Amino acid sequence: MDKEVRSYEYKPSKTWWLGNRRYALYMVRELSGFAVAVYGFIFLAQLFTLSQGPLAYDALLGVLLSPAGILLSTILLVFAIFHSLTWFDLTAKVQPPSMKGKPVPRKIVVTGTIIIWLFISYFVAVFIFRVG
Amino acid sequence: MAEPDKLEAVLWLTFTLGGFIAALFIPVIIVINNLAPGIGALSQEIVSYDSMLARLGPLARIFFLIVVVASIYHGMHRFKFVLFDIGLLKFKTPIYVLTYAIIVISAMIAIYSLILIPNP
Repeated sequence: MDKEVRSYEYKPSKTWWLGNRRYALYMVRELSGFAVAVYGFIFLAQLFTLSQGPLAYDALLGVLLSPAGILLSTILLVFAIFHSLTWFDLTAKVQPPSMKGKPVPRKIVVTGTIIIWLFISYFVAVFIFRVG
Repeated sequence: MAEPDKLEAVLWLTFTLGGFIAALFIPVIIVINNLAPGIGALSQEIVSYDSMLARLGPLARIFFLIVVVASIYHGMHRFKFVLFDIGLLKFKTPIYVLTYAIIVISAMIAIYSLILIPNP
């Protein structure tokens, strides 16, 4: 006789992540990835309007440089910086580099990555956006 | 032993790479391209149509293509799991299809735009 097989179906509540500070922070970290995609769409729109001529580009630029556009950029920048810092920290945890067979302390790895990040940001500003 | 899923491995590798590219470049691009000209810390001339064209040489086009696609890929990949986390796992297939469709269409628009943008 065949036995009935019943499997347990895990159904978490939709707001399980609100009950604990660490879970909420996890969700904010994950949403910071989405914010990066949102900026990707904005930048894509800029490139698209650039291909359509100055009128289309200037119309979009007007929206992006308006008070609402600046507010959105500020929110996205906060999330993007949060994404960068948590990503560097995560990478140092997942793949800790070692020196002479000993793991390099995470603080040193993260600080080093942030210094390299700032240097790359300066490089992008000066050599790609030609600031200064 | 089950064979490792090579496609899954490639998707995760691209996700990791996308995360790094976004982490390194998106903050500075937001500052220079949007925030600083918006609040007057930099002249708005820096993001004018002519200035944008002037900096869009072949290497800059490839750079911007990589940054845009990597950011969208990385973000949509993570957003997909946020949707699963808030109880939408039952819609796994449509969410997968939708997120990857958005990524592919965005990449196509980026390539189309960067080819069409006039040379400086």
